[in-house]
Amino acid sequence: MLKINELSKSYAKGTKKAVDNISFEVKQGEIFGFLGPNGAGKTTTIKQIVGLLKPESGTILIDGIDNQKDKIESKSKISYVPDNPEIFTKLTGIQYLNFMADVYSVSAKDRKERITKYAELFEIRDALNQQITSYSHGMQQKIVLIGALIHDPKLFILDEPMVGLDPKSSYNLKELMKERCQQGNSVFFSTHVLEVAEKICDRLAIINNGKIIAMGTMDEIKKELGQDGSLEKIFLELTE
Amino acid sequence: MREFLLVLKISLIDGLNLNGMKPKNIDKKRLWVVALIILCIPSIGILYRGYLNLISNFSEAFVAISQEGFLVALSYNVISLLTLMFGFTYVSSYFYFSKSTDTLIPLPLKNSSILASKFVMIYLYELVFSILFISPILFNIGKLQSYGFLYYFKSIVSILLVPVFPLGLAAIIMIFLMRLTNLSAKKDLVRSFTLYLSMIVLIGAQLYLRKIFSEIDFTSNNDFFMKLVTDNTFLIESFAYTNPVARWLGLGFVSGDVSNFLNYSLFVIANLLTFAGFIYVGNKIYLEGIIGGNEVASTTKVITDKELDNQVSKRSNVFFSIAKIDFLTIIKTPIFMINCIGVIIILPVILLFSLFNEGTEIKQQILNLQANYQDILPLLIAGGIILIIAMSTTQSTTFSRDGKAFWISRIIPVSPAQHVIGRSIVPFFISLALTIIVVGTSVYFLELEVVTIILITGLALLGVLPIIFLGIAVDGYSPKTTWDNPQRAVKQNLNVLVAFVVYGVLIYGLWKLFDLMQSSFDSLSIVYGIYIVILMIVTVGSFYIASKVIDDKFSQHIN
Repeated sequence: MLKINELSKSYAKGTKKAVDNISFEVKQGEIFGFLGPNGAGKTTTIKQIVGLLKPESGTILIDGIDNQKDKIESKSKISYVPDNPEIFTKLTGIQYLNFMADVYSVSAKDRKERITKYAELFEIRDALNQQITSYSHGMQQKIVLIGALIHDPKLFILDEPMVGLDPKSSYNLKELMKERCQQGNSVFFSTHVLEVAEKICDRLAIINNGKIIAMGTMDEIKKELGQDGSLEKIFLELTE
Repeated sequence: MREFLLVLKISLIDGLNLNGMKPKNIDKKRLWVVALIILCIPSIGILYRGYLNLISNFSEAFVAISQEGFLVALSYNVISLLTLMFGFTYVSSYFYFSKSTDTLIPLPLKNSSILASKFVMIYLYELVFSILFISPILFNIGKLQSYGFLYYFKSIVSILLVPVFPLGLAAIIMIFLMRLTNLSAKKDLVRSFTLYLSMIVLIGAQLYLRKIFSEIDFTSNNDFFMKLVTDNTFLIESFAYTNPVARWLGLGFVSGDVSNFLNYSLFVIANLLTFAGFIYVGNKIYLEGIIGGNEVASTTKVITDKELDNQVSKRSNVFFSIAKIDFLTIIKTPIFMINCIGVIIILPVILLFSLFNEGTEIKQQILNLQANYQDILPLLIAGGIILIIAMSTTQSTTFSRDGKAFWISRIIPVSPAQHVIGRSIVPFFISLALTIIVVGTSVYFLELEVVTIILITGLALLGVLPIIFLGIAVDGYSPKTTWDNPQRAVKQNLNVLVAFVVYGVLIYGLWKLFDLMQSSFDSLSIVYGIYIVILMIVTVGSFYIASKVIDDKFSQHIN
């Protein structure tokens, strides 16, 4: 579903490699966790995948489509939830969702069905008529999540999605991620919550200083590193 | 005092982006903007030099008839009115819609420290105008009259005080307005409305007073010339009812007796009292305005199944969906509304007042103009519309207005062309409304043929398109999405200046081209025919430029 090949990105005139020649693949029906300490290169990688940054070198294939060659087609297959979901605060929740449905060409029937389903799941239906400026951080996160799911994307990309969500919504989101993968879609997300990654990810990658330092299923990583501890212990040792 | 200085220091560093101005922090990719501004300086310098020459001539003339105090009062009147008008938007954005306010309110700071620091921020912007426009008048008079140290000291104090009274007045009015409009469920709309109303009342009052004075036939009064020569406060007294502060200042600059010194003292006291009044009112009710403004409208109804059905069944195509977001953001943000739509609300008011006040006189002048410039009249009227749209910030801040939500425009599967069309719809409708107003007024004044009306409308609408597309291209190239109050997205945005330069080049080129064609072809129909074709080509070219910029730049911005 997502194939990253030798991707690099530098800042400050090339003196700081934020992402250094990384390659990995997210398969269909897979939840892929992307871990790393602050400033490791997670968000830079994600921003290149969703088209917010241009790769310096390397390729990004989304469902076989090069995201630099066919931007529109590749964007239509993904959805993105940023770590700090700032959106058009002057709109009401329903106006924002309608906008997202319009730009992804979602039919009236589908948008109604999905808005109802996800708004009830995240318990935000009663606030859909209110201006987003009145929403709490968690509510804004929820409305961005619903906006991202409204076109039923093949690849769901989330940057630190659990931040700001209440425990119930966090649980619901995890269940939703699993459900999506069972339907043949894929999820790629970054997180600092290692327990979440350990529990729900089919595979994961750990990035540090722009390089991927470990990748695979939990068992594969443990085996490769000759460790038998928790993901937290492995993570701390690898990134120290 | 220490608290005020502390808040002021932080406000200045943040508000004026002082850290960003350090050479090591200047984004190298934006160096071209700095270069462009430097290139603009000579042309602005030429314009300012013209102003200085004009002021020099005026000063000599007024000094010659001993009415220099009137010139001071007149210039103060103009600058203070402008400061008052701009003050409304500055105060509302810095006092009420700035994110820094949310940071400062929870801190253990006195309201007066927060208010005074914000006031100084706005004051500094306005002081620039005071220095640029009033100081040449005062220093010219001082030079011509060979005044001494005391005069120059008084001049410097006056220049420093010029923005205080109008800004303080604007702040007091806004603090009351914000407090009162909190009672409304539709705060944003009510605030925009009251801002417009305040401006309209101001413009109306000025035009009305001007009418009263224009009706006084000074020349028929035998005493007029005698008084002009013998009484050096004669003209200043005309401000007695319209702007007493201007009168006090004017009289304060008339050399002479104790009463003039007292008048100057009144000017100083009026300014200090206004500032004190602003601090007092602010201390009493500012916080309630802020807190009320941030309150969630609890009366908003929960969406029913039927409403949800209605809302989701309204599918729009991508262009209109983008335009809808753009439009809602503008009308729900008073600062954006004033700056973007202001022209089509204020202009008809000015036209109506002018009609009411000086209808016959203006009509005669325009009829004369029509007789003299028959051939180029359609181009002149269309050119006026194009110039007004070029002065609007709507297109050149379209992406900047998204602020932190700009990422959404960059990740959605929308082609660059669709972005350009979507973002053009609001400015185009503003242009259309303006065209209807101007053409309608022209029809009232002039006996225009149907062909001429069609030609004016066609030229105007075709002419605004390149302006709109190029404005979008400028903002798309480097949008200012990091701002803490909406004023900075539309007024303190370099893209507006860059766009002005681009429009200036385009409009000058198009004007010269018409001139050239007019001298090359005998038939006016051929000239206009070719000109329309050229405008179409320019429109297509600028559309291509805007699309290309968006295609290239949307994946390169950092924020």
